[in-house]
Amino acid sequence: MSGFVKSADSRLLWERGLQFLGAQTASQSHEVTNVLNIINEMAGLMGDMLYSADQGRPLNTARLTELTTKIAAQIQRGNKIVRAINQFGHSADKPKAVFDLQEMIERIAFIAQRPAVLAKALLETDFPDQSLSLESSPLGFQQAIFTAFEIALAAASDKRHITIGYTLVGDGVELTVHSADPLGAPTEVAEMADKAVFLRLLVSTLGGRIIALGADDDPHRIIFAFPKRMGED
Amino acid sequence: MASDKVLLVDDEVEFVETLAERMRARGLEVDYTHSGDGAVEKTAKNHYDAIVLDLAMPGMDGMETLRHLMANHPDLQIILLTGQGTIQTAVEATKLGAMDFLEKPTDIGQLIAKIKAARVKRMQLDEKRAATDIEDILSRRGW
Repeated sequence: MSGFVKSADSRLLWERGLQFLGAQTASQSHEVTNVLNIINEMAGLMGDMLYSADQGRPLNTARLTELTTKIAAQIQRGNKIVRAINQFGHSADKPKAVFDLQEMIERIAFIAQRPAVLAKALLETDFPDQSLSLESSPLGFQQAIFTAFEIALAAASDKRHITIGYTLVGDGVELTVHSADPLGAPTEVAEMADKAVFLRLLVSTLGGRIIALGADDDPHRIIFAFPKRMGED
Repeated sequence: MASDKVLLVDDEVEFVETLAERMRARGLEVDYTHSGDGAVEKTAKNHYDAIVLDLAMPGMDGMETLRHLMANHPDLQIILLTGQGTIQTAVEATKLGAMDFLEKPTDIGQLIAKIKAARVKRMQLDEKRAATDIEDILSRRGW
């Protein structure tokens, strides 16, 4: 029976990991599409201006310069998104790897900006001065942070301000997703209850433990602790 | 004949401002807003021949905005213009009363042709309503 449970858990983790990877890649591809659409309209406007100039109207070179600057800014925006997708995609390469925790949180916060903006929530990060290298599952770690963020986002109602951060504790790290709005009990909404159950399973698989999960534990925080190396206590 | 009056609804500021500039250069009267709430507010105060509506927006999304607009102004001609379209969303939008569904990036000529078609449809609906109103008055007064 326990072997069956273990295999069912593994399958669930695998399926959810794949869903997470797919959903975030699709979400970021929409962001790239937005950038391309802006560049497309700006190129169209430049084409309109050149057509007018061919018809004998004076060419507004200041406006053309402004448009080229804006296109360059959009290309930078697009590059940042593509770099994030690329690094995110590669995070599934190895089940266990050494990574910089701050870089990883910054990346997942960048990816989470889109759902945050759509929900009109402000998402920020808060780090200690000292960075930290962890050895764990890069994809699983990001999924844990993102799942906690999703639970916090679902509870965002009035203040709509979420902060993701970490503190160094002993030989490990405590990750915190803080919501300015009270988190309530995830069990109140079926989808969130499912996410909370999954988060517990995922964190435990990564060798960590949940310290608080909103509601009575800490009304504004989801906190989980991890050792610096997966598999060590 | 007055120019076509259109409302663009999209949260990507630079996209909507540039598209508005291109449409104005083609003789259209263009107004824009960056949110579903803004669209609801503007349509309550102004008459538009067509609304060009994005799907993914912060707060009230495109589908919800479409529902609100159609509930308050059933004659509105709404064209969904989105970079995230699926057949499912297109079908749902049509069921909710959207006139058309276009995918970004779209050719501006194609978009303007849809806006002109929207205006014709809107005028036909206005004429039909005026005729119904007249018939109603005539029947009530017994003329």
